[in-house]
Amino acid sequence: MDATFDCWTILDLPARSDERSVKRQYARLLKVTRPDEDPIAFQQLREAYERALQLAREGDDGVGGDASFVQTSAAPLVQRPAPVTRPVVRSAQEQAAELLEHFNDDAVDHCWTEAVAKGIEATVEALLFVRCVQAPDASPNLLRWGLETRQWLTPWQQVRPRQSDQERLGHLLSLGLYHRLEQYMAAGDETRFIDCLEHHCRQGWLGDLARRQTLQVQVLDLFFNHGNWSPGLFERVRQLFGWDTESAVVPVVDEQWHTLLTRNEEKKWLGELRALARLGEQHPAPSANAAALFLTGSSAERLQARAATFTEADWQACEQLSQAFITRFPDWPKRFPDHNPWFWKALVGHERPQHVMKRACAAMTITLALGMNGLHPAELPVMVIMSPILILLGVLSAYMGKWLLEHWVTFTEPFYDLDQRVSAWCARHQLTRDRRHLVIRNSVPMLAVAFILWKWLGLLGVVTFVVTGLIGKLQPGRAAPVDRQYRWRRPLQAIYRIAGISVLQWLFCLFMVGLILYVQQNMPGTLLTQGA
Amino acid sequence: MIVGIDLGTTNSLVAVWKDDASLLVPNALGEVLTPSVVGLDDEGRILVGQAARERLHTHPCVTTALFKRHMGSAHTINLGDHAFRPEELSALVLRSLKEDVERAYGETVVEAVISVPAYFSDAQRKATRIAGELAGLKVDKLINEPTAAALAFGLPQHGNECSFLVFDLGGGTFDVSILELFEGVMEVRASAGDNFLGGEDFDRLLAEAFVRTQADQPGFPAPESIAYALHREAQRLRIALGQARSDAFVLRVDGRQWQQTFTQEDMAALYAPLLERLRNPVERAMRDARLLVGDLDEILLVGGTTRMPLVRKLAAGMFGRFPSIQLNPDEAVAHGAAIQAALKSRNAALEEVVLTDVCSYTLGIEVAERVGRHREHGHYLPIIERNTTVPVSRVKTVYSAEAGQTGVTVSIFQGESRLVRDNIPLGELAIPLPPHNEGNVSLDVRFTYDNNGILECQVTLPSTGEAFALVIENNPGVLSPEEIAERLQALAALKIHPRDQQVNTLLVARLEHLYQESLGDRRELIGDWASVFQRALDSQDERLIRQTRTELNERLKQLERGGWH
Repeated sequence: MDATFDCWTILDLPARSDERSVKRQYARLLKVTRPDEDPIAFQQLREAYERALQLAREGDDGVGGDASFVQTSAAPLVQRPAPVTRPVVRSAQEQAAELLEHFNDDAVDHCWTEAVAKGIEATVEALLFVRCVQAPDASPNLLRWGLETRQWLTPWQQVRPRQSDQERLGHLLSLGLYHRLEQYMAAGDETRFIDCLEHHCRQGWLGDLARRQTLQVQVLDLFFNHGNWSPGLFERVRQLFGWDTESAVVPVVDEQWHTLLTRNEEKKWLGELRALARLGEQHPAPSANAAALFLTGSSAERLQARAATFTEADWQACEQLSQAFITRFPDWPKRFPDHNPWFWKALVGHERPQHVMKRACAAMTITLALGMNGLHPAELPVMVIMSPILILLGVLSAYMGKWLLEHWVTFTEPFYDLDQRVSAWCARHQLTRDRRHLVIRNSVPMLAVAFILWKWLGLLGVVTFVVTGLIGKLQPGRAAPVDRQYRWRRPLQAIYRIAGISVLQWLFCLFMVGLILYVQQNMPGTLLTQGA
Repeated sequence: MIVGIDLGTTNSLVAVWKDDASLLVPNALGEVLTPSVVGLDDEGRILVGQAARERLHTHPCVTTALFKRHMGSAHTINLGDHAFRPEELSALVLRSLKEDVERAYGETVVEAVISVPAYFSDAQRKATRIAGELAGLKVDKLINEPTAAALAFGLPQHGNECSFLVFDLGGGTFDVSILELFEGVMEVRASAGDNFLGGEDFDRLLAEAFVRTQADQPGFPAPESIAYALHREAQRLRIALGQARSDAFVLRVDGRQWQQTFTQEDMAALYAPLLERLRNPVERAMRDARLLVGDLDEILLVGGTTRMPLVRKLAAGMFGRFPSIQLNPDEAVAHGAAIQAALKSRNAALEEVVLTDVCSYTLGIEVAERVGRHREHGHYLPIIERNTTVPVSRVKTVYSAEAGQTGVTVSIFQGESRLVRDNIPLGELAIPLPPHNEGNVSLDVRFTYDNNGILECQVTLPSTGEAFALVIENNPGVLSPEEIAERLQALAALKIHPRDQQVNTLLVARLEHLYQESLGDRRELIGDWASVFQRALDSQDERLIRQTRTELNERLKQLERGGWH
């Protein structure tokens, strides 16, 4: 609506006219501007009318004139003056008073039969009604009898008490019901909650539109303010009142309803996860393991313990679960450790790339030797004499490798996330065994070694490196114990095992060394032994 | 002349405005209620109304009812060799009503105001108009059923200012409307409803309950094969239990009989879930109208099913008072439609009344909403909120999402859910965007909803001034103009059962039906009557036929009074 829109001009009325004249004027103009003949003019008139009506109503009562249905019906009742019984025929009144003098709540039916026998039931019922209005909690049986058998607070009730008494009883009943429901809700007693609700909904007084609205608002409030209800309860209450989104019949504002719905969805989903985790105890499955991990809580040790046995399939299930949480319940991650739905990534223990480096260094020693040899083919004997020095150099470079490695790990820290993602991708496509093997961190040094080999020893050097690696996959070598004594006691074995490669690999390497030497001697300068 | 037609799920009526009053027009059998039942007679001619209803039991393959429930869908119904769409069947009923008026007044009927449930969707309203067109009627105006009933009620309330609620529970649909009457303006404040809730559902529930009790009896026929018999008996029992404390569900098939006694309490328990469903639309309408129960001056019950004491009780309990019984629940809507017809032709006596109605649904389009860093599709952007007074035209501006986007699809939906997947799609409009745009191209989407509940959508690009209007395509529920022409020809080719023979056909059908349902001596007796009547018909002597017919009708009446059930 634009700023120049002036409803009073369109309606041809002085500003701030009252509701009645607005209506009258609208009716008069409507006869001229018929909706079926001039829709555009009608629409303008209609907008002006709605606006003027709103202004007129606001002027009337000072506050937003269109107080909504729900608010009004849920407003607390004004305290009424104490009810006075109506004057009735003297004798009946006396008899009734006498009958009710020793009224016992457990014998309502008996009392009623007597009253019927004496023909004073109308008076007695009126008195009983007043008794309930004064103290509804004092006689629950009487109240139930009145509501269920005598149809109190419905159009069918026989006694006609004052309007104020009716309203008062209705209000007290609503309040009582609300407190009872609140107790059950707070205690988590869902069976009694729903039983109580269903039982009361069948009673006539709650058939009334306004009272039922109030009840619905109260029940929604209970759901909103308590967190420990189950989705099952929510569904049953929803069915009972016919709350559904499509026909939009929920007596609260949209946002509140949507919050409740999301909360319900979350609970349902969490319930499913719990069931899955429980099932996983008997029949372990990746999805169950993942569910269990997500439900473990934030204790680091317990998380570690659970994740220790995880395989690639489990991690993939975790990935799906995180994704599901992010798309379906964006608010959820707050409850995860460090507010991070990907918290489990930190639990993936990564291999330390030790052997790879040592192996590479051993290879470099040999390469060094061979490379030198390639430079001076005629001086083989000298090389043989010098071999201990070369081996020493190799050991040295192994240590240097270890040192380099530590720096390499620190250096790759910034790429850690990327590395994880690449590794997970490779694991998913079965390029590597699992995501604990970090692809970038482990393969870059290997590629570096391969490059040096190519440079110094050509094609055969690369083949040696690659095939040795492949043999390692078939027969993994064992690293030497870290124990220092061992190295001194068995120095040769220590050297053989320092690179962590197996016998087969050693043998293959030796064979290749021979081959390379031979090729170097007989066909120098080819791509086979000389990198481009 | 313009007539007002109440095209109901179970019964239809037609009324005209004559001598400053609306009058119901009786059909060939002299009754104002024409059952919405269509069938083929033994010679393959079309039969509409009471006679067809009698034949539902004896000739279920060539007779059909309740087609209003399928209006606006692509559903087809087979009668013999013909496949009919619900529009065509409705057109046949409309045609028969039209003929009744033409016979009664000797004037050609060219135009009609047809009533539809307030909660009918766009497709269902279109289908109703097409049905009118197929019947050779111009249908400029559809009126909502509760609004029509309100007109029938409100017209005599000269000068009174009042608010009232119309509780319209018909054979197949349920509507609630809240209206305000002041200074000759009848204003609908809010409407709500349920398109699949009516007397038929109550009967189905009762029949199902009966079948459940009988299912383990040996030789009990498959419920599908006796659907109509079950339905008819359920209806009888439902009405009977409105008065009697208890009554028996009696099913007679092929000379065998099954029965089960139901009490009023059984009924109340059985119907509780359906009755509960009546609450929601009322609650919603009250909320939308921003009224309290105390603000209502009157509660009007309309529709045959509101005769049920249980429904009356529910309504009374909800509003804390007894509803008005001023209106005849079956006829009010037809009277209202006739009044609307008179208003339309600007009848002098009615000049003072102006009626404004609302659209019952929210109408809107699908949009993407930014949630966190990414965009989420499938959100609903309401353009016309439900219960806005019509005719109305509203514009909302939306923007394209990506730079260089070549086009936008504007998908139109009807419904109240926040996500479009829960709403009803009405159609879509593909809008090409100017090339090389930088995103954020603005589009003005204008929805225009007219007096008859028909929606038009127009999209304009302010940057280029181009405009696109919606043609709803690929909607299986709505016939295209070519299809209408085709169907019109097909309908013209159908032979109609001769009007003057309808009385005879009805009697034959009734006798046949009774014969199948009865046992022993009575069965023989009815068989005798049937052959007597057949002989009379064969003689082709008009006087003899009339004489026999009167006599037999008399005897049948006696038989029924003797409690033939």
